[in-house]
Amino acid sequence: MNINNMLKIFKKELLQNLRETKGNAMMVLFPIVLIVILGTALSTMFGKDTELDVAKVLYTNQAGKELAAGFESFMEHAGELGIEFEETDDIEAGIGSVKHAGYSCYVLLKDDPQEIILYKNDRYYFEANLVEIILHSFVGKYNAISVVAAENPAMLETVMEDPEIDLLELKSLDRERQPSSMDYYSVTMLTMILFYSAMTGYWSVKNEQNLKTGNRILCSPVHKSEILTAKVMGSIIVTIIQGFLVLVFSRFVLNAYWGANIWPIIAVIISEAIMAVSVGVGIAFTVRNEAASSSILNTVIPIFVFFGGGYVPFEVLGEFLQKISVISPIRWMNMAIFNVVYSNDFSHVPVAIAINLVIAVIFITVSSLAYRKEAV
Amino acid sequence: MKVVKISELTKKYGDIIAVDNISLEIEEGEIFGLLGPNGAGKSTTINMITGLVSMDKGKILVMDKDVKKNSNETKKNIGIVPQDIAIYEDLTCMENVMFFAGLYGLKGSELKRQAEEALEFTGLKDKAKSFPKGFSGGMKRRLNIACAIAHKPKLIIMDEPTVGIDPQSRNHILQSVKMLNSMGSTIIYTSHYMEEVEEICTRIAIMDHGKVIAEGTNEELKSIITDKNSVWITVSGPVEKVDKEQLKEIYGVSSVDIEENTVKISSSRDVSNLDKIILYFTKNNIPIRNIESKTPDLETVFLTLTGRKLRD
Repeated sequence: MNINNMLKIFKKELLQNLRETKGNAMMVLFPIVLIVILGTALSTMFGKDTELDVAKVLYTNQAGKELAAGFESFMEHAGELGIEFEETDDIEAGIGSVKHAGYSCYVLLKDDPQEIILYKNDRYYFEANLVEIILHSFVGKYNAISVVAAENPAMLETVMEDPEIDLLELKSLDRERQPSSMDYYSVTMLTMILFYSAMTGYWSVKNEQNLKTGNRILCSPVHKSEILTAKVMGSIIVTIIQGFLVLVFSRFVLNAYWGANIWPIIAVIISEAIMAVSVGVGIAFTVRNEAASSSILNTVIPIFVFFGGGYVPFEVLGEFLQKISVISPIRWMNMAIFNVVYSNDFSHVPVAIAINLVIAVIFITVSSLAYRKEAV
Repeated sequence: MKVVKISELTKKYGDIIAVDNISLEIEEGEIFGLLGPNGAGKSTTINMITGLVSMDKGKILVMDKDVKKNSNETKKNIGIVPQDIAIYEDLTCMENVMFFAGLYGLKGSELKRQAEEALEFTGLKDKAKSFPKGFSGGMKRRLNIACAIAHKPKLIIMDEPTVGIDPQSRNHILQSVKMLNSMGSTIIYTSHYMEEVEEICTRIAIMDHGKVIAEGTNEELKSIITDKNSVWITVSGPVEKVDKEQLKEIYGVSSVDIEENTVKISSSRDVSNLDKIILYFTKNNIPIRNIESKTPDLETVFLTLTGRKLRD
């Protein structure tokens, strides 16, 4: 590979892309406008709506004496957090109420085997999550006490008084760090527009084909691999600059929250830029018909963005759509970024990056094979 | 020295034979014309010389180097002016020329100087910082040429460089071709405008259906098809007074036709009888308004060889 040749093509790509004012405005202003519009219009779905004024929980208690007593104690403590409990004997009606009435959750306590089943209403996802976490905490303690009672009853009193085993310990739910609508759409619109940079990659190849400049470059002493690498790199850098501008604007002008760990987020953004540009380049080389290839990109991108929770949080998509959403790379990126920002959980970052890079490698391989075979 | 040597070159696209076993040799300093109608195989031949299209059979040497084995080495010596204008409209003229010339290894001040020279040569120096978006077709064609010559290639291939432009730009380009040649470049010039090829090319190959059907200098090609010269004499007096039979008695005259006021006389090439023909008209008091010596052109050559016109 001749670095000088690559630098010259890279520099030309950069210059052309930066001069493409319409495209740049689209890639930077479009997500910013969407963040503002969606962030304002759908603000009731986020932020203040998640304040725990009243979380109504419906329950059916068919449990044995010990679990029932424990649950009574749980309800007493949970009431202090503003959770209201109502009992019903009708299980079906209870489940139905969660679906259709204004309850956050329905809890079913069963005996033989002892179990607690939680039905959550996604419309009240914050309250439902809170109930789930403290219920989980309760179950943990109940199990611990049960084991101690069975194995060493003498220790039972000590365990009950142990402040470490707090019945209502909130493990990970942090009300301070739930995304507002502006926070949410700052993330999802950024990942959306980065995915649209597949168009940047696509046109960087297609324009050379249309202008016949691609053949002219091929007549010079430059290898196809140098041309492909430089073109892809040029588009990626431009995409990263565009993404960075959106991120900076959302952070400092719209005051969106991006957490305390920006580098893992930047890593995800860069990997998405690589993936999206590679997809665009791959489509440009493999689908010769311009209308068909444009249609593919313009159809697939919004679908993936939708399944990735780009427009509405994927928690509200419903179980079936949530299952399908795993096919969307956007979902993995949004999940990774949200987990980093709001939970300091970095576990999804390598997954998201790996998904992006694998897709990129597949499309770049396809592109280079198609380019190698390409006849004038 | 042979700048290009093509031996038994063949290229097929499926069942279609685009180039059919052609052999050509182009000497240093020539302006070699490749003449033929659309689809004759000219562009495919050129694309194989530049390495854009792979050959199915045969061999091409550029400056004694095999284009297949020394692709980058041979490409360095070639400048291509493609048939389609291949420039970036969002780069200035200078940026366009510097980009393409830069791919041939030029750097820094040398690159800038040679790019400026190329723009000056093509008459675009004062447009160096302009974007070609608003340029006329002729100006874009000139920029197309500037991008091909800035690296000073030994072989310049011009594929139909005058398509769709005004006569002034065409003349400018044809003069440029001659100048480039006088400055030491060997030129391969393809066209289906036979008058251009006739005007500038030192040697010509006529292609049709993928084959070279004739090759030689302008004169050699014309002599292939005819041993006749024609003189067209337009008279201002009564044309009825012209006696065809008397004219045919003049030594060398083989045929006489009369169309309106024009008398078309064909004679053997090797006979000089124009003075006797003119004498016939003056003796018979038939005033002459115009005399045209009609030698066969390449269009006629092509028509004779293929049975159809170049632009059919």
